[in-house]
Formats: sequence, structure tokens, C-alpha cells
Amino acid sequence: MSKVIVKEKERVLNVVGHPVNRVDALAKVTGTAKFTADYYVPNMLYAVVKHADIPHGYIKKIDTSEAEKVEGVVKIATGKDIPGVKKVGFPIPDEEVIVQEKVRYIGDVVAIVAAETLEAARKAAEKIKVEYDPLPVVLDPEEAMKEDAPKIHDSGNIITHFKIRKGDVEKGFKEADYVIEREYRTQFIEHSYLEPVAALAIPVGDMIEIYGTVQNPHNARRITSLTLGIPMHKVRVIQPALGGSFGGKDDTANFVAARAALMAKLTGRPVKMVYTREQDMRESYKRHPYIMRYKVGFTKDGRITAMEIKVITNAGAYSSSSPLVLYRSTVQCTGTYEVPNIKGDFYTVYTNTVFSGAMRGFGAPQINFAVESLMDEIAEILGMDPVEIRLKNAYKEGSVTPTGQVLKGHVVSIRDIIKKLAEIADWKKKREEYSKDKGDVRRGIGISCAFRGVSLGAEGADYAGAIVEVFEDGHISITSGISEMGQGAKTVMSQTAAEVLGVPIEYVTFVGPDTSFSPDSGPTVASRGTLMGCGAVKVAAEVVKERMAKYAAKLFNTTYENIVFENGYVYSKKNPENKISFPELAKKCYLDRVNLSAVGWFLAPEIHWDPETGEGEPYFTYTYYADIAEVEVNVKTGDVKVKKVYAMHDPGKVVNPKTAKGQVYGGVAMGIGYALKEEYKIDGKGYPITLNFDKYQIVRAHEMPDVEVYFLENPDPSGPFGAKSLGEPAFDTVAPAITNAIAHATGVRVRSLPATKDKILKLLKEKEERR
Amino acid sequence: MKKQLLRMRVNGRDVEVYVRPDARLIDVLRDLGYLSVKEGCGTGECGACTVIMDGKTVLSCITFALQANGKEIITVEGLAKNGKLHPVQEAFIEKGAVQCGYCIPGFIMSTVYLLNENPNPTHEDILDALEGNLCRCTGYVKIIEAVKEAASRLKKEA
Amino acid sequence: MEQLEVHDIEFLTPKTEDELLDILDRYKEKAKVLAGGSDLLLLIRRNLIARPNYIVNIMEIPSLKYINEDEETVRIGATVTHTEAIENQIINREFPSLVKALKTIGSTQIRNWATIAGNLANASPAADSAPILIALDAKLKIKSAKDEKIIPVEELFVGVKKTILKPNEIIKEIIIPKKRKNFAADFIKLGKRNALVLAVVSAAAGIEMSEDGKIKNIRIALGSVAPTPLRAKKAEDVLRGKEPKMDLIDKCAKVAKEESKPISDVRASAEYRREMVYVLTKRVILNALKELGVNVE
Repeated sequence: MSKVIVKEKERVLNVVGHPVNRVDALAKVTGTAKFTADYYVPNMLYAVVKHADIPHGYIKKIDTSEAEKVEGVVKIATGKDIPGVKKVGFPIPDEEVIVQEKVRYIGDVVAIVAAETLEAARKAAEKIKVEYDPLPVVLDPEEAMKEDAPKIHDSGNIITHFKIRKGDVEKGFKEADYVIEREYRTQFIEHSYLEPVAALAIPVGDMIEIYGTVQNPHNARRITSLTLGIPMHKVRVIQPALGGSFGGKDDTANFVAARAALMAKLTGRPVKMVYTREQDMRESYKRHPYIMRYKVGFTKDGRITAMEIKVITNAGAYSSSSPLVLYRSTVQCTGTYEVPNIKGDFYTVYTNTVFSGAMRGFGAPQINFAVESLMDEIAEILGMDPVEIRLKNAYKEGSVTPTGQVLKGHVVSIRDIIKKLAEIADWKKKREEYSKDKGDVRRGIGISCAFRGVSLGAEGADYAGAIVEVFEDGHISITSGISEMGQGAKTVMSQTAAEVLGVPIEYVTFVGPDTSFSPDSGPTVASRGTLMGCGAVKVAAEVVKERMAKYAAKLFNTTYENIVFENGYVYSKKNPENKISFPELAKKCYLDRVNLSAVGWFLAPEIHWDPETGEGEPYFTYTYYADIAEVEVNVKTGDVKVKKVYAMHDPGKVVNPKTAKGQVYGGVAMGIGYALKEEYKIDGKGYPITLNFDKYQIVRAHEMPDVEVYFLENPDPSGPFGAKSLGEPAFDTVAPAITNAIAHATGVRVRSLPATKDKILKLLKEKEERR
Repeated sequence: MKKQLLRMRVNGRDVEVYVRPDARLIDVLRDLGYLSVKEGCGTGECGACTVIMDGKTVLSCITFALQANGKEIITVEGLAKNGKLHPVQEAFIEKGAVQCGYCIPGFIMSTVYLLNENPNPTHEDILDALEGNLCRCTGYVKIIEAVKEAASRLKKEA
Repeated sequence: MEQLEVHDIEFLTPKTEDELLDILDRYKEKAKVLAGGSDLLLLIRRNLIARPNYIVNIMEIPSLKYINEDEETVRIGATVTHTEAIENQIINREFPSLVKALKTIGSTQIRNWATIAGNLANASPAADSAPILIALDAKLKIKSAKDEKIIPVEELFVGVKKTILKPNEIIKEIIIPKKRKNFAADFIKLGKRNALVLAVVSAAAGIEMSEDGKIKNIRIALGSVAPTPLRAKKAEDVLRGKEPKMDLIDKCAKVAKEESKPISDVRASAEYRREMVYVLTKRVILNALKELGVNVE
């Protein structure tokens, strides 16, 4: 059930804003959509990696002699076979496609085997013997921060330290009636995309063509080009259908692409590398585990006066996007609440665990868990309702964020959302009714809200490009570097082109992304796909439209401002019988040498942020949202059932209600997993325990609650049709709504995720014993 | 290792192929060109490899190919008839049940099996039937809607 | 990772029981029985067993596929799948608690092809059909080319993934005594719907009442709390021959908790499992008594 609450009057949209069917659904339901592993070429070799045997140590010797004897083996490569740059990565190039000197976690790749059959490659990989000089292993980031901790990289274990200094915390604490300190922790999370990483690299002359499970084909091209030491125009990366990503198919997927490319270069033959689920879970980066310590001062009427914050994130063996993830946590560190005095220190630290990187939410889910739990804890101390305490402190127009940014230029809708959602969920009544539950099964209802800086902010250069080409038969091809990973990017971009050119969506096909013709648009991350992709497509489509309009104006002997494109027709507003079908117009333009193809370039507004002072405007606009969750907790077993979730989002403009709702449902499922059952575990020696879905458990169909989705649209001036973001908001504050509901149901609070049955039961027993 | 003869019928087509004795059904089907059969985990946990064998859904990644000897297999490729989509496929498109699409062939086969056995499934029946199929993108809501839609379409056709 | 020795493998599909038992007699450890297949391929893939030289597919032997009944017993053949048992009229009529348990195993796809006997022979500490079969006092007919014997289900298991089955032996059938009147059984698996999760804890109880309102006989079996499915004999002793009073049932459940020896693993801590033994044992006993119409004070 969902509603689209449209706040403003706008011009009638015929395609955008409508629940059109996905443009790629037909291929997917017929099994004809090709994913990377579905590509087979003649003369192909299979490549398998050998992972590190220990989590930390120098590589003394790699003995491939036994492996080479395996029948069918064609080439075995180690680090010394890398012709180009050895260390890659952004913002800190500390990652290695094949490690040469030192292994830093159990997922490091020390060698690659290419063989005629998969069996031979696997067999040979097992026969590679590596001798190490082991080094002491450090798995805990706080341990790694100590002076005498083993150094993972020469640069020292503390990768980044960000600060927020706003106002005067000591003064703020003095003004407070209460000061509390709390610690919250979150766990490693595995992306669990259903399609494991893979790549197929094909040498064509001096070019390498790569099909890969790459979220960011241009980044895969960059890494491959650097690694192989060949110029970028000799590397072509094609993204086939991508089986999910959630931020997880960047670094690791790029390395797999580069490895396949390397073996292709070395053997002169196509090389295919498909990871097993175990290999993928062992090597690929995870969501950062966080340790968060909050000291909060607040008045007796619920106003927060000061926060002192320390956050330590476990970056694992390589930095990847850790500084950028930390950046978002830093600038969003007080959640969606205005706090006048803040002292925040944020650290990301190397250890010998699997490395952490981008995952849906990117540093916000962890902070949201801490802050949203804290708000409820404050409410409890004051005997206030959790909705009231949030309304007391939530941002409004003109509020100042931790970095000193004044929230203006867009509708700061969080208060509106909280009020509306609480009403829809019948909050007050349920809050009271559920607290009366006595038996074994207790009900609870909890709320959590958040805001999110839209797009990359200061994480990177924020731009996107698209090409729109109208063919002679009036049908349209579009492309962009913004990629499809299931979220519906191709569909919304197609809708945009169709909307601008006034044609049915069936006229439009999205091709690529393919680095040889799709403009680099930066990574499809930060929920920027719709905003930036549609933005670029809109620019390009409008250019082509203008040219066609001018041509039509000549035809109809009128001015170009009079020309309307609608429902597949082009006509003069003043004389509607002057009308031509879009395909006919296209044909005429084509025959008259009109340029029907255009590149659109879309830039996000300028932002700036100073990491030294922690001040600035880190994002050009924000989106706001809230979740309310209802749970049933069995106090005898600790079992939690999420019965209902209400979600309300302000994504600016919902370009496609069908795919938008799908995003929210998926985000809720992921949020339940984050809250209750997912945890990627590493043992005390640095070896992973959870390597497949038997031990790493993601939510199944029967665990889904009833979900009601609401969109409150406040169109943003920066985005195409007013669109902002939805992908990450759909997920990043679901978990605390659940843990808050559990606290309501049971009276106990889990401060570390996941809130397993084990933990809940233990807390309940402790509560019993205290009585 | 000597290869052994495997005879089966896939999507109505008789197939004879020599396979390794320890070959998995998923690999043989994919080698034969039925690429809709996906590997998501290789251990029977995710259900992406689900096909129908002798009328019952099976996890092809943990089934030996030679177990299928003499049996009839249906994959997604065998559903559309004469260019017309199967009602389950249509329903999945209409209801927006598809996102990245990797899990979809497995869900479609589980749905075809369910509706064959039970043309009027309750909500609970559907949850039971889909338990062996994982999805990370959709949150299952629209998949369940699609199953219900498919059930009603199939009833109309009957 | 895969273990790929230069190794000969042959896939055999005997058509008769005699052929099967002959093969097993001949090849012994070099042969591995393949039933529904959900276990064997995984065991090989994960290097948990040595690669066999012969994979012996028993699913095409007609004389192993049956669910028969006579006056005293119901007999389930070796190749009966979970789905077949769940859909079978006899089993639903006689042992609804077994149907309940079978429905919690695996997923539809797994239940369609995995055999009950095969699941037992795999002897996972979480072998989900074992506790209820033990509670129902079920027996197994073990057969080899030359020999045949009948053992209670609980005697099958020797250790984690270890049974008393010799390489040339198979489970030929499962024999379940028909319910006497005044008998009821129940089964609970924690997080019932988390079927693919190997059970965190499961419990089953079979209770027979005597005419004078006392518990004539009781069998309590637990899954996933010991290296093998565990018959909680000491707990049974608390209630056997006694009147079913709440404090006694509570004591019984506590004794079951003490008898269990669970480990801590990725799914749950030992402490949690033990606590659940108490909770679930109590519940299955009360459920079974409720079915018998017994009022518990």
C-alpha cells in the first residue's frame, strides 16, 4: 500500500512520475538477459585466484612448480607479472591487484592460474605453495590504534581523523540538566548481491574488451589500464546485466576485471574468472563495523545542548573508500537533529580483517543506529514520547548542521514527515496499548528518522554525461555511464528521454554502459543514479528536442516556442492541425542532415568542505525520511518478528512509483537483516567463518512484514523534475526503528547490532535478575 | 575419468550428452545453453538455480547431472510458447517484481511449480513455496504480488 | 575449495536392491550412496568427505519407494522424499507431528528430492527428522547384502555426521509403530520458519497416558544440542509413571536442559541453546498433553 502525496502543482507529466514497467524486465523474465557469467567465447581460458593462507605476513616464496604440472594449465601469474602500476585505489592507492610483498588479510590474492578448464585451474591453484614470514595479527581497530600495534601499512594504522568542532561542548554540558554516555556498535555486513563477482577479458589486437560485474565500468577501466600499463582507450569495459551491487561491485569487481585482463594479455586468449560465493565472501569488501561513543547533554524539556562524539571504524586491510565513508558519518554525526555544541573525532583504522568499503548507506546507517537509539534513551529518561523528543530537536528550515551549513534552498521536511507518519501509524495509541502486553509475546512500536546529503558531496567530482540519439525511424537510443544494478536506472533514464521528447517509453532503448561510448559519469553510488543520470539525459534530450523543434517550426511556418512534443506527435500550439508524428519528423530531420544526437553534461551544484576545520557545505541538498516499525518479541526465546513497517520518504520527485516502492521494500528487507540477523564473522585468528548463505543469513520472504510506503514529494530545484535520492534512504534508518520497537516491547536495549535472540534473551535475564 | 551418457528431455527437447560422472546438473544445463539457470551460492541456499525436474522443483547446483537421466527438465527458456509469455512471466513484469533479475528465473520456476500444485494458494502457501529462494533487491513484496497475479491470470486462462 | 585428485569416479544407477547391495559389498568405502543428493554433492565440494570412486544413485530402485501400513506399523521406504511423506494420507492420518516436523526441513526444492532416510544417514547434529522419529519410537531396518537388522532410530547416531552404518549397509526402511490411543506427540523447531537454517534447537516429545491419568511412557528427543540427536532419558524419568503436574513438567524440562550438551557457534551460544531446550521441551510436552485432552495443574 502506498500513496504519492504530490505537494505542488506541476505541468502534466506523461511518462515521468508514472509506474511504467521496467525496460529490462522482459529480458530478465525470459532468461535472455546476459549477466557476466553468461558470456562464453571460443578459445576461452578459465582463471582462478589463490588467496592468502594467513592474514598477515611477508611473502617469502611462491612455489608454482607443482601447480604448473597440472594438465591444462596455461599460465600462472604472481605480483611480479604486473606490468603497470602495483598499487591502485582511491582516495589512497594502497590496494594491490596481486599482492607482491605482504599479505594483509586472508582475502589477498597472491597468484592467478589460467587453464583450459575450470577444474584444472582450481586444482592448480590449490597446488601453489606460498611460504610466509608471519606477522602479528591485529583485528580490533582500537588495538590497532595503539602505538605498539603491528603496522598494516607503512603509513601507520590510523588512516584518517576527521573533526567537528562547533560551538563549545563544555558550555553545552554545563547548560544541560542531564549528561549521559553511551556506546553503540555495529557489525561487518556482506552485500550479498545474488550474482557473485566475475569478469571475462578478451584481447582484440592491442585492445582488451572486458565484460564484468562492475558497478562502475569507468573505474574498472582505470584500474585495468593502470595495472596493465596500457592507455585507457585500449581498454573497453562493458557492463552486462548486473546482478545486484549495493555498493559492493567496485574495488573487488574492478580487481577481478583487471586480473582477467592481465591473464588475457599474458596468454593472448580470452580469460574468464567467475568467483564462487565463498571466494566472493572471503575477499570482497564489507560494510564497516563501527564503535560509536556519544556523550550527550540535554535539558529536562528534551532539548539537546551538546554532543561529544568519538567514532572508530574498522577499515580492515585496505583503505578503499574508508575516508569517504567516514566523511559522511562525520558531517551527519548528529543525525537529523540540531545540536549547537559538538566536539567530534572520527577515525578510520587499518586492521588485518577483510577490508571495508562502500555499502548502501555509506557511513550513515551506523550513525543512525547510534543517534536514533540515543534519542529513545533520552526520551525514556525524561519520560517523554520518542516522537516528541524528535520534534523537539529535528532540523527545520534555517537549522545549522554540524559543519555549519544552514539548511535552506530546499524543503526541510523531516518534522512534517515525523508528524504525518506517526499519525498514519496510530503511534500514540499503539505506544500505550503495547506497553500493557504481559504474556510471552510482547508488542512494541519504534520510530527512527534520518536525513541524507544527496549525491557525492565532497567525496568526489559530481558530474554525469549522457548521449541521446534519435534514429531515422523516430526511435531513440540513450546511454550514460550511470549504471543499472537493479535499482531501475535504465528505466528512469528512458522515462526522462521519453518525457522530454514527448514519446511513449517504448520508443527509447538504453544501451551500455560501455566505456567506449558511454560518457564517464562517476560512480553510480550515493543514490545519485536518478538525479545525475536523468539530469544528464534531460540535458541531452532537450538539445535534440530543440533542433527538431526548430526544424518543425520551419515546416509549420511558426516559431520554435510554439512547438509541442506530446504522445508521439509534434504540433504547433497555435495551429494544432499542423501536426506530424515524431517518427516522420525524425525521418525528415535525418534526410535533411539535422544532427539528431547530443551529449548532455550535468553538473551537481558546487559544494565545499574543509576537512581541517570540519566546516562547510558538504552537500548541496538533503533528503528526509522516517520509518516506524512494529515488532512482536517472544520474551522466552528472544525471537523477534517484525510485523509492520511504515516508511515515508521525501525523494523530491518520484520518477517511477513502481520501481521506487521496490527500492523501499528492498531497503526494509536489508534493514531487518541489519537489525536482527546479519553478521559477517571472523575468528580470533583472522579467518572468516561466514562464507555462504547458510551461516550469513539474509532475510527470506516469510520474514517480511507488511510494509506501507509513503512518498512526500518536495521537488528540489537541483534535480531533474525535482528528483533527489531514494536508494540509500530506503535502507539506512530501518534498523533503529526495529531496535527501538524491541526496547519498547521488552524494556531492554540492545546496543550492538545485530540484535540476535541470544543477546535479547541475555538482557531479559539480566533484567529479571536485577529485580 | 570416463564420461557417461546422460539422456534427458529439456524444455521438450531430447538431449543426449556425455558428462563427467560428478558433473552438476546446473553446469550441464548451462553448457547446453540454458543460461537462465543461475548460480548464486553453489550450496542450495539461494535457489537461483531452481529448475523443474519430473514436475518438481529441484536445486540444480547440488544435483548430480546423472541423477536427471531419463527425466524431464523445464527451465525458464521452456515457458514462453510461440512467442507468448507464460502468465507467471507476465505477472512478474506487470507487478514490478524484477529488479536486478538474477534471482528471477529461480523464483519463476518455484512459482510455476506452486501454481501447478496449488492453483489457489493462500498467502501462507506462497511464503512456504518461496522459502528456498533468496532475493536481496526486492524485499519480496512485489514478487508475492506477482505470484498472486499469476494465479489469477492462470485461472482466467483455464 | 574443491578437492580434485586424479581420481576415477563412476556414477552407478542400480535398478534393484540386490544390485545396490552387491555394489556396496564390492566397493565398500570406495562407494557412496546417493539418494536425493542434497547432501552428497556438498560434502564432496566442501572436502568434508574423501571423493568416492563410485557414486551410487539409489533413487531408481522401485522396491525402495513405498509407504505401507499394516495393523501395527507404518513403513517408509529408503527413497521416500520429504514431500512424498508430507503429502501421504497414511502419514497424515497416523503421525501429524511427523508431517509438522518434515515441513520444517529445508525448502520446497530440498523436500521434493531429499529422502527422510538419507537425512538420517547424513547424521547432522541437526538431522531434523530424528527427534520426532525418536519420540515416536521409530525403528530402522538396516540392510546389507548378507544381513539385516532392526535398531531404534536413536542408536543410528554415533557422533557428528557419524552413524553405525557400515559402508556396505543402507537404511532400507523406517518403521513407526502406529499410535495407540492415549498417545500424542509434538515437535517444535526454534524459528520454525527458518527452515533452511539448520536448527538452532529442536525438541520432540511422545507421550502415552495410562488409564489412571498418569504418564505411562514418555520419550523426549532433542536436536542440535549434542553431537547427535539426543534422547533426554533423565528428563523422561522425571515424568514417567507420574501425574502430569506443572511443577513436574517444569522440572523435567530443566533436567532436559542439564542433559543437553550444546556448543556455541555462529548461530547461537551454548547458553542460549540450553535455555531453549528448557523452553521447547516444556512446550512440546504441554502441546502433546493438550492434544490428549489432559488438564495440567
